[in-house]
Amino acid sequence: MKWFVDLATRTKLFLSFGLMIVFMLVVITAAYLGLTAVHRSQESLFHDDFLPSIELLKLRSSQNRAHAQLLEMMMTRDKARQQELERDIVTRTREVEEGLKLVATSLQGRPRESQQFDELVTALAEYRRVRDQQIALIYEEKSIEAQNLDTTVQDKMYNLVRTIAVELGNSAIVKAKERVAAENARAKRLSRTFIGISILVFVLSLVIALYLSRIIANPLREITTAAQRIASGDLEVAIRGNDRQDEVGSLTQAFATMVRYLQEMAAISRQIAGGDLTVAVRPVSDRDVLGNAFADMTGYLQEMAAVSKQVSEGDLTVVVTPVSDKDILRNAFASMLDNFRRINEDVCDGVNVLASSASEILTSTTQIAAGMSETAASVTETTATVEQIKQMALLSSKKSRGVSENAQKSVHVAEQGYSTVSETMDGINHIKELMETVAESVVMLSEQIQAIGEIITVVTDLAQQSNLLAVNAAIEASKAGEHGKGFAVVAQEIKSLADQSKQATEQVRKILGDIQKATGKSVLAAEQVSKAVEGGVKQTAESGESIRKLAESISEAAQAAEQIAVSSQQQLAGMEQVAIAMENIKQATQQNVLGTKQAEQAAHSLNEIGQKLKEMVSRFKI
Amino acid sequence: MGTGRFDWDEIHRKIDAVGVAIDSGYAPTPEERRRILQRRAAQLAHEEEKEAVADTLEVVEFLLAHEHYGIESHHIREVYPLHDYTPLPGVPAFVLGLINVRGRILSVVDLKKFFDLPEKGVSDLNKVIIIGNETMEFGILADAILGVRAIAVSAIGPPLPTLTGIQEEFLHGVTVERLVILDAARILADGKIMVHQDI
Repeated sequence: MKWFVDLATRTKLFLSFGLMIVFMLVVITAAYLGLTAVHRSQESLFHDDFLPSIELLKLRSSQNRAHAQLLEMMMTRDKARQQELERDIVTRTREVEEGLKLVATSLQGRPRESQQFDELVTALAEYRRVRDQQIALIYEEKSIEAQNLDTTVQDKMYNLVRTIAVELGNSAIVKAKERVAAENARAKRLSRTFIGISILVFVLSLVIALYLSRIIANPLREITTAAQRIASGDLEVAIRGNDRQDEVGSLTQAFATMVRYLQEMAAISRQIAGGDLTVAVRPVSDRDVLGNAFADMTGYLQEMAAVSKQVSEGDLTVVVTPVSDKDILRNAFASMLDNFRRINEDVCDGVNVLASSASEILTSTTQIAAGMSETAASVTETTATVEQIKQMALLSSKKSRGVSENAQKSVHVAEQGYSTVSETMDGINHIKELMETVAESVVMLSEQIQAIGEIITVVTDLAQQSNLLAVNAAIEASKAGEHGKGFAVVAQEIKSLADQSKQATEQVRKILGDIQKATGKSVLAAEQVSKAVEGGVKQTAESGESIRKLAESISEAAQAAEQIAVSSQQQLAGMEQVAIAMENIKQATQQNVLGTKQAEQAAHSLNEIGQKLKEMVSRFKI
Repeated sequence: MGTGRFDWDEIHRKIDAVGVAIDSGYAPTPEERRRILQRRAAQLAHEEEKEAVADTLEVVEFLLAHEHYGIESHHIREVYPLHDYTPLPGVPAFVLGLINVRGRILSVVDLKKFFDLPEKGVSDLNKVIIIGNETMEFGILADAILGVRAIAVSAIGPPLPTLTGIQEEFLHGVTVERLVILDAARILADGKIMVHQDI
């Protein structure tokens, strides 16, 4: 059957349907032949068997009616009615004649019936002859003769005709029944044959249909299933190749090629999806839309990849020109680059700010850390101080009790002091009087010194004049020449004495000045003593008052000391709370120190990050 | 005022001693007397040596604003205290005024004006050195008279070469002790010191 399979599908269908049409034709022909045979046999049955008997029945009926009308004619006297009846008889007779002709034709070939038919015709001819006589008699109004004739001759003739006709009819019916039975048998045979042929044709057609289905529909169904799977995206379709030369074979091969192409494209897509852009897509032809599109897409993606690579290497100067508004990737890349540049600038600014801030923070944090360390040290010192204060508060509590006791003793001492102050005041007043005497003596001394000073002035003047005199004497001596030499020596001596006098007076004047100063000082001292004594009196009085007040104050102080003792107790309690608080502060400060160190490290890290960010940002070329 | 122990006994003793000294009058102690005599002897011995030097110039030494000046005693008539003087209007600034010396009216010249020396002001302590020759007689104002000295001519050096005009004319020379010797004869002879002015 290989040759059949290799035929073109159209030819195959032509052949198959042609075969089936031939089968149909056979069936139809067989049916037609059978039907024609049945039809013919029915025709002959009708003509040969049923028609004579029917005609015979008609003939008998017409004969009967004509005879009845003849009888009526004999009965009636009315001429018109007789004529009418005669016309009717004539009509009936014509019908009988026509029936006879038909019967005669159908009875051809049947000798026995034909003989009987001839007898019938003879009998009828006889009957008509008698009837014509009777009619003529009737018109001659000889009805009785006519009736007589009838009873004698005509009645016999009539019965004869009728008998023959009945016989003929019966024989025809018998024959017809035989024929019908034979036809029925034949029809049954024909129908059986037809059914058999039909079954055969049906089976053959079924076989052909199944075979066609197997060689055409099955591969198509497979391809359809494969196409549906491909349509649903499943490309793992195995197409069994065959060496059929028809359209199905070509279709299968083309489909297999298509599947391979799609699988190839799918593999490329998977590679691209996996990021491998090194795939080389070679379009099968210029009209390979998918291949060309893939090649374009790969090129596009490679270009984008190259741009991405440049961007990733920090080159933001790449220019991406979108082909159209729908070029989403390029548009996105362009806007992305734009954003990158802007972001980079912003980040650059931000990073600069961050870097400077970070270094400032670092500086500040370092300072804070140093400050915190100092604070921690200070807190430790403060804690120690608080402890000391606590001890001191305890001490002051004790001391204030002692103060209170001492104050009581002091009050007694103050009373004693008050009486002593009164005695002192008397003594001081006496001193004051004595000092006034001293001052007067000193003033007198000063006046006497002034007198000495006046005398000394006179002595000085004398010395001056002596000096000048000595000089003049020397001049005169020099004028006297050799004789004046001795006088010159005397003059020199006088001058020397005058000079010495002058020096002595100068010394005396100086001493007097000193004495004057000393007396001034003494007077001043005496005055100061006097004033001091007055002040002393006043102060002593004030001291007395003060001592009295002191006694009061001391008793107040005693009370205050008592209160201080109580306060010191409270202070002690307060200081303990302060000590606890200071301990908490100490812990908090230590935590702060740790935290500050962490902050310092964080600031350090931040600074490093800032520097790194700066480096990173500076790697971008804008 | 009990700043310390005050020895009243000591004070009494000292005052008594002073009283005794004043009553008995001042008399040098034997030690002091011997010292004075020794000093005089030494001075006289020194004078003797000086006399040996030949050719001396006897000058009166005086002060003009702390500078020592000297004038040959030969030209000096006398030294006179400046008691009161009469300023004279219409004369140059170097003429201080007129004085009356025992009936003689003499003009007084202030040499400080010539030598550009600072003015000290005039008082009773100022002296007038009266110089003169046969034709002229006038007084030179001096701040103080220091005495008469004999100076060897060889000790007198020439005046400073920077001096010019009247300063140079009036100077005789300068000693090593910076004593400026004035040439009294030239001062007296010079016409510049005369005043011939019509009013």
